[in-house]
Amino acid sequence: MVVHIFWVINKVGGLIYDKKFHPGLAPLGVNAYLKLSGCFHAQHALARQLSPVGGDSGIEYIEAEDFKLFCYEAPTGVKFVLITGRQTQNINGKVDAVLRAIYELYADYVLKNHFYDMDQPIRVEKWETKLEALIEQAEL
Amino acid sequence: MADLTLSLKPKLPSVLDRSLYFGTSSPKKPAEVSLSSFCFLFAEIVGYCRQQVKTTTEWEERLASIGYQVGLRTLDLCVSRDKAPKRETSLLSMLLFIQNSCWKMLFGKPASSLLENESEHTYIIVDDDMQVDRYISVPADFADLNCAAFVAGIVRAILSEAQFHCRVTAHSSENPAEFPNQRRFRVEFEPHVLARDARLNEARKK
Repeated sequence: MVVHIFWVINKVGGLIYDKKFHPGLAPLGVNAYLKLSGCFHAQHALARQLSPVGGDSGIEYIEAEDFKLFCYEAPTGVKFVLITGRQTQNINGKVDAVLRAIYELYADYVLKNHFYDMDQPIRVEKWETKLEALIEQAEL
Repeated sequence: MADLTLSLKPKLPSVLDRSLYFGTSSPKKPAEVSLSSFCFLFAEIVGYCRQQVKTTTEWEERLASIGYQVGLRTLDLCVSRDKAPKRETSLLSMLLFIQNSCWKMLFGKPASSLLENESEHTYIIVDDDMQVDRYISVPADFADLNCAAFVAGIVRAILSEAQFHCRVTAHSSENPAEFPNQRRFRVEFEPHVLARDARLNEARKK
């Protein structure tokens, strides 16, 4: 599994954390990521409303020609988005498990930290180290 | 019409009649608190102590004073729950009591090690995996702040109440790669305590 980008989008649609892996990719400006994540948040909300049966969860997975996008929305509205390479297979819910593990890290190192204000950009050292270790392990 | 609902409410025994082990499954297994709940509370305590302090030293002192209140109660509780309670008069045995019994009661396992710095006449209690401030990540602006000052306060209270007056400071891991959550508590006893202990040791040898 090759991870390209990881986002955390707060419940009002603002991008609070983004991490780029594999610097070989053409970089977009910071604003581009803010717009893209805001756009995704809006689409996620629309998708939830569109379901004819109700009780819909919103977008969980987008497959495109060059990438795959996985999204996990926590019950509190925080979204964890992983954009990976084309080859990634979600065998046995492997990617979902990674996203849930990331959610656990968020609940631990970000929320239990006094120095973090809710819904603000995440700048927590322990979160970054643990996240990197988790993604590295997942990529194997 | 008499109020029938009053009699339907179950009555808990009063605080004085409840067992000391209320809320636990058996006297052998004291109550455990979920780490998550404690850490959320601790994060708030750290924030609460920040009010009206101007330096990180003051911040640590406020954290330690809250820990002191915990330590006061810990000593009596730990001694009374001991199977064969004994009042420690020797410095080393008191420190070992803290390292084993107190740490086990507070954190579920004994502290990793007790070291002595002979030249400075100080002792260091080392815990390789401190859970109290495990989720707190101090930003670079407050780099000197060590939230384990709370635990240092606990240790100071236990020692002071047992008449071993001292100063306790918390220090971070010496080996962050291998033990990222290691905390070292440096105990510096007052000179009269060290003198008294030396005298008593001499007397015991005779």
